[in-house]
Amino acid sequence: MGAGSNRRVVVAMSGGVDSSVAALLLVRQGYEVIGMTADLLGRTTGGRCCSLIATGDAKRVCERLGIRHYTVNLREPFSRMVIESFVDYYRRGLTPNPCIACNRFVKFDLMLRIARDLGAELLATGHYARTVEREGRLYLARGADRSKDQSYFLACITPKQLGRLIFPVGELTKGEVRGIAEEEGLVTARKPESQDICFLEDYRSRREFIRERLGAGANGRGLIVDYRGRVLGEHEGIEHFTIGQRSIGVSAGERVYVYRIDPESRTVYVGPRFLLPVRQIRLRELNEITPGSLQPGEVYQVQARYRQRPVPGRLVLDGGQPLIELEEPLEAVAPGQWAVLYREELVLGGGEIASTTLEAEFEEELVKASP
Amino acid sequence: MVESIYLDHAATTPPRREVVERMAELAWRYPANPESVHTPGQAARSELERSRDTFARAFGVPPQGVIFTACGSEANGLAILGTALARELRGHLVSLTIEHHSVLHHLELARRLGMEVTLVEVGPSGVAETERVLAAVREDTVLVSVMAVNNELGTIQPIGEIYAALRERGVTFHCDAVQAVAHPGFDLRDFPADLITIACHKFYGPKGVGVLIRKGEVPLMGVVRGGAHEFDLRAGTHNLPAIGGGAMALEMLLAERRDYAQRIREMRDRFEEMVLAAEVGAVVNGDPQRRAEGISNLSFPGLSSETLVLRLDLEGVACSAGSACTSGSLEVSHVLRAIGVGDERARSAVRFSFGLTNTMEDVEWAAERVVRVVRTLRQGIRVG
Repeated sequence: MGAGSNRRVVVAMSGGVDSSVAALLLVRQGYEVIGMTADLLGRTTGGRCCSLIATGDAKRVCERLGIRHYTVNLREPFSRMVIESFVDYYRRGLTPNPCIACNRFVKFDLMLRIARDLGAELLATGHYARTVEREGRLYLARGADRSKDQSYFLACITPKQLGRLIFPVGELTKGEVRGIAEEEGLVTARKPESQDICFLEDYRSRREFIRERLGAGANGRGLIVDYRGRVLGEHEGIEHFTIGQRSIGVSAGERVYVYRIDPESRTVYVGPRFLLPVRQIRLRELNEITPGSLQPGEVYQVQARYRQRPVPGRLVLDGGQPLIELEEPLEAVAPGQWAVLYREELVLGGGEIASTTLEAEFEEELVKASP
Repeated sequence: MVESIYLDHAATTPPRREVVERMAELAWRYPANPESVHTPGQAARSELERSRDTFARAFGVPPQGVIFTACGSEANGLAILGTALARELRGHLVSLTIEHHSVLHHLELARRLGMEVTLVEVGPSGVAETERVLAAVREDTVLVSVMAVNNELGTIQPIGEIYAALRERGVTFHCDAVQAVAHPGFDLRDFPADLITIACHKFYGPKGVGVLIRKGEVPLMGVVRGGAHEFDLRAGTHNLPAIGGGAMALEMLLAERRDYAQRIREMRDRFEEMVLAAEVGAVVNGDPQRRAEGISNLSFPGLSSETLVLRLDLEGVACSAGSACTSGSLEVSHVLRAIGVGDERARSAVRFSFGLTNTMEDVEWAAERVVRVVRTLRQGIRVG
């Protein structure tokens, strides 16, 4: 018996190769493993995440490994806490991160509770991330395969949750994971990577989905204004815009980007790329993954989107509210996304972005004209 | 993995060994299509008709009153859509909110095809009131469909009274009797309905065969088409081994039905008594005085059905809750929602159903496990 020595662990299985291999590795380590697929969308067709076929694949992998597999119905909470909130964020001119919302409210809350109810203290997932111990304290760290590292989406993990989570594929590269799956003949070995937001897969675009949910124009039309205060045209609703977006639906005469969305006046501001860099990020609240590891006044590496080169930034408390003063500007930082703080490979925490201050606002390059 | 005590006989019963052996024998001995004109076909045909006679005798109908289908759901579909088609999709249908989905969803299909449907509500007892059912019947009502025994609660519906009243009014009555065949309170030879659905896997026969019993010349039109099988009411090559196995299972059940029901009732009552006596906050769903013997539906308010079923599975008790949706996860029971016992009770209900494979010892062991699991889960909630 290895590390597992018969301890019971639940593996969250999407029906993909990463979580299949996670289950396999835990079986090898001697854990008593239970596979669990969350039914989030009630899909019957297609081979994608949590559809009937995907659940079937997870079941087949578990059968092959000689372990139990259960499907749990989390459709109602997923719909309420992930999908509805996704739509509501866009409605309010914010850019949601549904993968973090899903981890936060569904996987690391509800699934962890179900695991405990099944007598399992531990929950494993197929995320490319690691837990490491430093000086007797537990930390979350980036996945060993930097090109696949998913730690950004895990910055919402609380200290209590961290102690109950394991990421068995975090030490491996994607190639190694596929290799193990092929060696073992798992049905999921060659499944393609899931890329997009799972509940958008049946839609042509995010725009189409949001329009269906909110109703076309129901959120109120508004103006598209350039950085000099010139009105470029009308838009159907702020819910169709995100910071850094290039396609705005009207001609601007030059290449422009959305740099600010004002939900009050429903105005979308656009301008050249030099307007995008952000100097300050204000957080709604700060989640500290390892207690005591984040200190106001210290400089950390900051990432404000998934695949983004992190830049140094100082964490300060401004009237009690966490604020990050970036030492190098970051482009296209959108309120609603998360800013995540790293020290080398360690993920120390982060929080949802409440607002930002653009570099240009300091330089006074920006004419604050209202239409 | 631990050996499980199987308390899910209402979902399906394990076939008797003799039945499985008989099926293998039939598959080997009668390989031809019973519809074929040649000698091997004729042999298969004769065997098929012997099985049909078994069902016909049991229900006191002529052989043409026995229509084989692939499952109970299909037999319910044939009763409902077959009636609807025979009436040229005109008229009104009456049923209950607590029917099996195979009735409700076929009614929904009939509604989409232009017919009118009334679903009569049922109160917390889980037993329909005859007057309310009859009050829903109109001039243009072509079919009333009421189940004999509810598959989730085990409650017995007043089909005798309903049938008697409908006969006077000349309205066809269909009964989903899938859960009722083993219940000695029903005399199969004088079963109170014009159309009766049964499924052989609910009484230790094989899966893959359902039967629609049809009395007299009740208007009916085939839904599955493509050949003149089953009196032109259901096309498709017969599943001869399963039909033969089903006939054998029915004969074996009827030979011991009273003793069987008595044994099952004792186990069910003992199980329920033990769980209730432990005072772990269990409540019985459905009127306990008007239940068939096989089912105990208990709620554990504050807990979730899904967690209970999964944890019990880990502890070696196989039971169920609500109905499985397409992905295999559980849906909150539409029956409990319909009878208005409240959300918390509906979300924490578990169905235990007993059968031939259980012994009193198993059942007592299972009751202890249930109590232990409920205590553990309640502890977890307080701590967590």
